[in-house]
Amino acid sequence: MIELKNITKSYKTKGIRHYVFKNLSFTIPHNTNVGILGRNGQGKSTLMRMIGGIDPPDSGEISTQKSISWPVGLAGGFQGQLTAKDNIRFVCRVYGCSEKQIEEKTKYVRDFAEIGNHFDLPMKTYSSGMKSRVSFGLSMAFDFDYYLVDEVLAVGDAHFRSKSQKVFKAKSSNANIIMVSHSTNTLKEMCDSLILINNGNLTFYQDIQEGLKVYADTNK
Amino acid sequence: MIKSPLQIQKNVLFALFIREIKTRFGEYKLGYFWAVVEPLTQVLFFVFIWSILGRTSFNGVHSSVFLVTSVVPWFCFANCISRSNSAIEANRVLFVYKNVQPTDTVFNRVCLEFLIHLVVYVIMLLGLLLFGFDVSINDPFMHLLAWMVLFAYSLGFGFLTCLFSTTFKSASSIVGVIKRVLYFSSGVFFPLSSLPTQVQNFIKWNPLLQLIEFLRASYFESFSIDNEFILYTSFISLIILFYGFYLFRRYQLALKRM
Repeated sequence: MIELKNITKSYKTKGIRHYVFKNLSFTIPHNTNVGILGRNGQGKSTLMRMIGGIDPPDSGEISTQKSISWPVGLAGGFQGQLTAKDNIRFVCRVYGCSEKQIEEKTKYVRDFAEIGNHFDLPMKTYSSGMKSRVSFGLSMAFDFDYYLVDEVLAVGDAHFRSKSQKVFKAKSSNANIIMVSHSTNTLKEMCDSLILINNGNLTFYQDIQEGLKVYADTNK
Repeated sequence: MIKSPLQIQKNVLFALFIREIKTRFGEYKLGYFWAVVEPLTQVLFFVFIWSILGRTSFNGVHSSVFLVTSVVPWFCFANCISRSNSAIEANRVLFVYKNVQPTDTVFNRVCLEFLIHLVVYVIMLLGLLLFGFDVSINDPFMHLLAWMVLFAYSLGFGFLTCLFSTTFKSASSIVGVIKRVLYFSSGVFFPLSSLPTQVQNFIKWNPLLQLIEFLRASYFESFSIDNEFILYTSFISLIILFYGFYLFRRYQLALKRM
């Protein structure tokens, strides 16, 4: 369970303060894989960054007893000049892994990503699909209670997506996913429930089908 | 999975350190070569210029030894500034890991520059020793202290320039101008005493110049610096360090997003 208490979050652009969330209180329930859906600019990624602890709210509190992954996204996390291997080693070191654990995790991601020799080439040469294989694989190499996943699965091909689904299902007895995506298919594959973001308000739907239907109706 | 803040800090700095070493010297490892060649050519250039002007020694110290003890610290400082300047930009993608903070990236880069330049310093002094020059340090303890003050000064300066040029991207070229001015006014290739008194009275308040004088005075017996100026440059360096760190910490969240 992740509790958001009285969250206010704003950004200042060109001298004008823009509020993404105002006095938002919300509980993300546990034991359910949640998809997050909303139109562009509604604050999906901001929400992920807040939950991930990298961009704290202006005021209010986010509390949980659970461990939460970094937001696994397309935009960041890897240094383009370095190879996948070096990037993985970096993340392992940040999380304080021993040399043996680093070896294990590197091998795990290498097997998961299936990108052959590219694994030892600088990541700036990767396609977005290859990058997403490495970034999703790397997050799966760690044990978290919550995995924050921002769009990475959407750029993958069918093989990668089914593999991701399988790997995650194996973990899901004690882990949950919180996922942002615009692809309803990806959401249906990975999630059971849905949070819709609209004008700074969050609405939770226990049944993802119902939530998707509401979303489709409001955005006709 | 719970770790102490100190352990986390150690892990992050170690991870960043390895990452910087991998990219600092470039894809073809030419950087190793440049780290020595850049200060070396500068030393040779000024040895040449001074010999044309008819000077081969300063207070009995050969110009080459004299120049190494100021040119290498200068390059160390200058590289700290330019590496700190781009520390946020180059590491931005890594801020998705919540334990990696902007302060870590600057601190880490400055540490690496000092490590590199201390190695270059030793290499060049050993080279001079091979050519038969006297490179013994008169007061090793004070000399080490002078390097530590230089570290405080460079780190503080690094925080400030990084904050400044990340916040005002279009104004970052000013940093280059400041560096140029400091280069010519900090006695990198001349001793303070070689200037006319009027200029001395004005320029002696430059803390970096006094820092370089401090490095020389601790290295060579025949050079000296007033104790007041050691206190002065140390005091200014600490103020720059604490103020730079304070400001940087204050705006660090905004820096992550910029």
